[in-house]
Amino acid sequence: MRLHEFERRLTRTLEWLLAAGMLCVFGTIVVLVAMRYLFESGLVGANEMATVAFVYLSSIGAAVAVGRGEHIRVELLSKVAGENGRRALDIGSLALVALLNVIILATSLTWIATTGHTPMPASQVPRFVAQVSVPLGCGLAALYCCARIATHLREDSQG
Amino acid sequence: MILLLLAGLLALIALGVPVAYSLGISALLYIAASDPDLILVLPLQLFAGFDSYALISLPLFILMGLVMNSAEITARLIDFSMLLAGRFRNGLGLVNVLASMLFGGISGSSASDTASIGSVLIPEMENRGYRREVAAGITVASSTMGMVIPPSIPMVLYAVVAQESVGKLFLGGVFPGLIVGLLQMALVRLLVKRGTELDAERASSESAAKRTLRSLPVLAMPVFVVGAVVFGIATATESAALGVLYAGACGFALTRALKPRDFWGCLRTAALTSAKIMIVIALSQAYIWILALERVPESIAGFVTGLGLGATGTLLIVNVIVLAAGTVIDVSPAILLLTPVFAPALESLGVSPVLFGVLLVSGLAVGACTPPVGTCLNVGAAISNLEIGTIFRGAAPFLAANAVTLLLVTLFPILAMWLPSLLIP
Repeated sequence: MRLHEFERRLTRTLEWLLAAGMLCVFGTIVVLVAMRYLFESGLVGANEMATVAFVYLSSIGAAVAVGRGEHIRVELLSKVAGENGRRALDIGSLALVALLNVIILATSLTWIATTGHTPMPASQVPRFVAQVSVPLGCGLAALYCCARIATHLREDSQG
Repeated sequence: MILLLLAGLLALIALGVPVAYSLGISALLYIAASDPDLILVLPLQLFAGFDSYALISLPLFILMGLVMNSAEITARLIDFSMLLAGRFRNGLGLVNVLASMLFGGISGSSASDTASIGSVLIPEMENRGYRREVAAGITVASSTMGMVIPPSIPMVLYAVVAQESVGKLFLGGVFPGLIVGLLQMALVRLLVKRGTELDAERASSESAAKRTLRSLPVLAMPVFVVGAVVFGIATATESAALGVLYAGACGFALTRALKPRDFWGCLRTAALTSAKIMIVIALSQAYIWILALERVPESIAGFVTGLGLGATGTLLIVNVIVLAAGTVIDVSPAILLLTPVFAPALESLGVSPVLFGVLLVSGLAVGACTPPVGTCLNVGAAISNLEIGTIFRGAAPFLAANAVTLLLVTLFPILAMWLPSLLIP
């Protein structure tokens, strides 16, 4: 129950962040267009910052979609499989997704250590500010996979 | 090795692993079997997939459609369609197709078209004597125009993958989308038999003018959004943001149906929906990188040109492959997988990437209405409480219009290429 509650709160927080991030991206682009046409000027690095926010939206959003089981998939086997078969397929699928995310998380740390100090062309902000979204998103996705596997297993044990 | 990559991908997709992660895991399998030192490619390519200013247009176009939906513009579009087509025989069927044409130009998505138009018109059509599977079938089949008529979310995705002009692709979809709509209307007139005839009477000119004026701000939206891109006033990303602003103004000031809480919900849904597409894009980058490493596009290009079928013959075969792929794989992953494989081969035969993009999206739109994957079928099933097989039987005759359009555009590329070449030299 505690795990379920933690997952629910985490999802709610992340969804709030996603909505806020989306508002920031939208607002930034509208402001940039307005500045270009109204004042014939722009904000240095604003496009880059909008892209950084978008990278975070994508990586965190993908993790939340794992938690909600909403990713694009083909449900050919799971439709014909029985209740137990469906659960087994889901656990196997979640384990593979978790494994991939853990591997990307681990390798991304080396990649960030090697290239993260390079500044972005316009804003001069180090690239690791954006790159950290990869391990963050992968970590969250792996966490959601583990939580969902635990939920499945508990349902199994409760019959 | 390439067989391992393909077999791994197909097996994982069949087992129900999400398409995005199937791409990533099969790429991981390939790397583990060929050269484990290449593992750093995974985070690098994943990040490269996310890190694109042009792709910000994706969540913004999704947001624009969601805001328009929350603004309850569907009623105005249906009312305007009723004014134009309601008085003819099978009027509601025609209204359904016409409303989808108009809605397609606003939402850019077939699934939201099915949901919005279907929830209003399927029960209404049933009340007026249409069989439920026919009403649902027309709704689902006509929603395919949402992907083709600009602005179109799949066209934006293709434009980014193929590094083509979004404006040209938007314009390329105009005539094929209109042809699908007109052919579907003709099929509705010819094929649909129903019990009662109780459609709208001819409206007085005063009422017609009033209803047109009421719908005008909504109808102007696609012109505003597409026009901004085509005439270089704004980039695709900027025009999508301006489209959201416009949709918000319609919802808050015009229909007054949009509440701040709804807008917040739209922001959240847009971020989540686009993230589901973005992770497919991001993880497909490693897969596409491996295809390039194994020189798969070059091999296919060599094979295709070696067949000596010419551009039209090859396009016909590619159309069949696209239609088949569309039945088992969703639109976004299909675009990401098929574009790098076929675009170079077709370009070597002199086929414009814009033409291929229009044909690809039009073909995949049909896939959205065919079992087992069909997103629109699933939405239609949820609205009409019918099995997807039953809805597909209802939709199949009208999907013939899409097949004929695909054939026409393949044989006469000018149908897709005339408008882009006229407005964007």
